[in-house]
Amino acid sequence: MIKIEKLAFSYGDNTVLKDISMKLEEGRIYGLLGENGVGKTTLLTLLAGLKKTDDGTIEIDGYNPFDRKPSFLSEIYYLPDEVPAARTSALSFASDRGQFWTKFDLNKFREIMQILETDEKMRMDRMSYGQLKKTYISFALACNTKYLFMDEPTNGLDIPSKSQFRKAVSKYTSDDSTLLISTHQVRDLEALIDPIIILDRKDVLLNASLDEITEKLYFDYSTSIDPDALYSELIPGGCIQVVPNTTGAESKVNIEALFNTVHKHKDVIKEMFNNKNA
Amino acid sequence: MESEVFNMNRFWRYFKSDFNAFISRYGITLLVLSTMAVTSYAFNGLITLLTTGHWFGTVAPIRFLLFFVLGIVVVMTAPAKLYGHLTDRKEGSAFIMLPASRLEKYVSMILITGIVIPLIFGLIYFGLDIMVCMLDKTCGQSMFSLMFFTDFKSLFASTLSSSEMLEWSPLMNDITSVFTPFLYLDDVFQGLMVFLLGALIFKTSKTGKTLGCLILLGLSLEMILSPIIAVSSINKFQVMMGTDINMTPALFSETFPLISWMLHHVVLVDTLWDGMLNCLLLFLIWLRVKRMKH
Repeated sequence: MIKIEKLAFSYGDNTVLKDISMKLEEGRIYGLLGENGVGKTTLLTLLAGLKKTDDGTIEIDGYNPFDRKPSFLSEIYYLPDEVPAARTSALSFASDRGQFWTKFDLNKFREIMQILETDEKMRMDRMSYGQLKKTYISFALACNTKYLFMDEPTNGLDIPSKSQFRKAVSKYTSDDSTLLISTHQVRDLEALIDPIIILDRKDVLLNASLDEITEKLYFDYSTSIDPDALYSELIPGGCIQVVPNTTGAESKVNIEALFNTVHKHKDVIKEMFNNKNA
Repeated sequence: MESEVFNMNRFWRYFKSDFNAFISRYGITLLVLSTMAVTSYAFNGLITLLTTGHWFGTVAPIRFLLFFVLGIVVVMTAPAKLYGHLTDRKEGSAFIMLPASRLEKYVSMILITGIVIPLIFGLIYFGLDIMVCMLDKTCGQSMFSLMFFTDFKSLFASTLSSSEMLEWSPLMNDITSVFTPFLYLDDVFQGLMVFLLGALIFKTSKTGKTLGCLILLGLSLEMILSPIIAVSSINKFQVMMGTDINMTPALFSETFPLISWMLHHVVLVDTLWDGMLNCLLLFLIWLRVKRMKH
């Protein structure tokens, strides 16, 4: 389990994260959403132990990430948005690096590379950005780590690769693995992420599963405007509205609409979800 | 349960991976620089053959000079080429996230930079020089043979003829200890560690900025030490300049006890000083590796 308590982090005078508290349970694929500059990447790097917290604590299965103990590092993998290109083939990179992650599976790496249609024998420094990203995605999943943090994993992927990515994540992630995926491309990952965390500059606005969200909010795809709607937006063929779910009716979460609703009614949403993140 | 601080198996795995990275990043450059002994020799021979009609090998002083220059090139470029990328966010993150302990990564870095590189360079360079001198009679003695089998003390003693010079011979004898080649191994290590530290601190122009810092540090030290030395010795020099004293080793030792002691124990002083600096550099590199953030 990941426990974050009153986390604070600044870049000089620029406070990025302040008083952030949340818990992440095992075996879930969390979607980390937020506007530009709210500290999504910073949070991921703090979880991966790449930075030291200014204040507060992060505890992952009893480890402080910044201690960078080998047994902790072999249980996590952080896939940044920008990845380095090794001067070797993808396959030799994977077999060389993979040996450090105790549960790394080279066959799995090769299978995922095939799913993502990337040549394992190609030199990484000759790959396109998308190919390089797919190589790292394959490597990250093949590491079989308990915690996998991904920063904008679908950036740079072409349209078929995005669905291949979803397929690979669903197929090759074990049930007890916890994934935290930061993204702006919510449509790419709509079918994958649950729960959803929405981060604000100095607050966690939402940390709830899709069931909890639909229990409290109703996503209405009708053509008539509801005056009680917390958020409404015209879409081709009608509109999408988010209204408080007073009847217990079921609906499908539209993450973009949810995100906009949360940002428009921060206090209402926090109260509605009982601020259980804190 | 494996140790979190240092595990031999994990370290060996890491060292092998680090060594492979070294071959990939600097292998060819090091090979080219180390084989310069033979390429420059052949080039020089060809030039003399074309201009004079006779093949002449490169004389030892020139070979030593080339070795010295290339050695400096290796010392200045290798650390930045091997570990300079760690200041880059992408590469540095990958380094930090690799499941090995900080100590294992640090020890591997020090071994590759401070031991493996000079060892490979020296072995290839001296090896080729020995081979060339065995094959070509115009080469004379190999650099290795000149460095390790020349009796500098006897050579120096043979130049002392007058009784006055002989009087100074014990001191000179001690000073000639500086010709011991092993004495310079820690200096090579020190140079590599200085440039490794620079490679881990500066994000761009790593070698240039390290050189700049060395020059600034040298100037600062000179500005601080020169007045101290001057104040402590100037009176004695002035007194002597005004008199007709015949300087003998005993008088020298009595007047300048510290300098005299240092000259008599030049190897010890040099080793202690270098040891102290090397420890400081190793500590600073450790701090940099330990506190690296991205």
